[in-house]
Amino acid sequence: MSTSVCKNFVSTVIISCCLTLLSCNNGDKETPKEQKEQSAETNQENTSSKALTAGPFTVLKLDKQALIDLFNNTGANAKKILIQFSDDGSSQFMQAVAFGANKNNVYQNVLKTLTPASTNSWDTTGLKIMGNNELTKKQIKTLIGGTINATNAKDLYFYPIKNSNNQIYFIVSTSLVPFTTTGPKVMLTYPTGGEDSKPSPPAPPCAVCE
Amino acid sequence: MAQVKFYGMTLDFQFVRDYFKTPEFKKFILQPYMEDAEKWRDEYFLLIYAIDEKGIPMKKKDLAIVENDTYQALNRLELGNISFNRAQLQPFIDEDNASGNKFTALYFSPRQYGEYVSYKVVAITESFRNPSIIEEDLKPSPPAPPAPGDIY
Repeated sequence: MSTSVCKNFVSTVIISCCLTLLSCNNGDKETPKEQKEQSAETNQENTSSKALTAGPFTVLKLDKQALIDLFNNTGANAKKILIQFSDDGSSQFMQAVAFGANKNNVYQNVLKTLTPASTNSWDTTGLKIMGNNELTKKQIKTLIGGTINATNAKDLYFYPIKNSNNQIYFIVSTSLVPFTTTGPKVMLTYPTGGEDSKPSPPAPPCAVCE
Repeated sequence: MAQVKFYGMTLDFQFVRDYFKTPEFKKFILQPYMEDAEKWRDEYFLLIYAIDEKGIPMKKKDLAIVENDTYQALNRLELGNISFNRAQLQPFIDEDNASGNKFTALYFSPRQYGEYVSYKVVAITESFRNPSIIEEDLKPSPPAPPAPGDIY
């Protein structure tokens, strides 16, 4: 650590904090704001009819070759994939990337981008926690019906959803279910038989990952 | 240009003391969250989990927002979990103990780290004078390598 850098930083902290002393007093809440979600499936209007933020979500796709690459990285022993959200502030949608990782979350230096599979969007009101999500090798093998190889691998589709803890996670499926249109509303339709990604925390490391 | 803004945050230091002296406590994990966004104005804050030796959360808590300490990212960003483990906390605890529990909060200040946002951390006092000599740079992992001791 550089002493001069530290002093500069400390000065910045002192000045900024003194100026905002009154605004710093909301830190004793024991839990994040408890906001009743109107509906985890508060499906939104078509993106063309609503002012967009960079925040809305859409169905994302991890293509089959990317899936194979995440698990077949030379010398690696991936037991699951970690999914992280990404935000470039200019895209219509919140995006995501995936890393292969062992069961203790030690990741491999292989990153694959999940790409939008729809031009429609879904969003939800209130707090949105965007931590890491996990999908185990076991779950993926269940989805594709066997070992992750060129014969079995399929494109995976990630459907965004929010749980009662305000965490965004995904229902993952090998099927792409189109958004459904009812009058002016365009609704996200969830697939049946999907596997849920696990927001971690709070999900502990998988005991049986494959 | 769209705004993707990250705020400085503070965490009650007593929360740190309490968990650090709990034998089963392993580390904290910080996660980003967003309130309802406005068009092209995404603002991210932090919450924290205390994690035990088995990787199971013991407690979840909000951090307080420091309104005028913001970092506005201009590039694509990945939003990763950020780990803050015992080895990284130890120097703050030592400095706190050496002067008789003087710190009131940890202060997390956002800055760019590649395609991620890292947080520079110092401990501060109620009067904001004499902040810690120690500071720590917390990086999200992935893509940063795990910090020493940072596996379950």
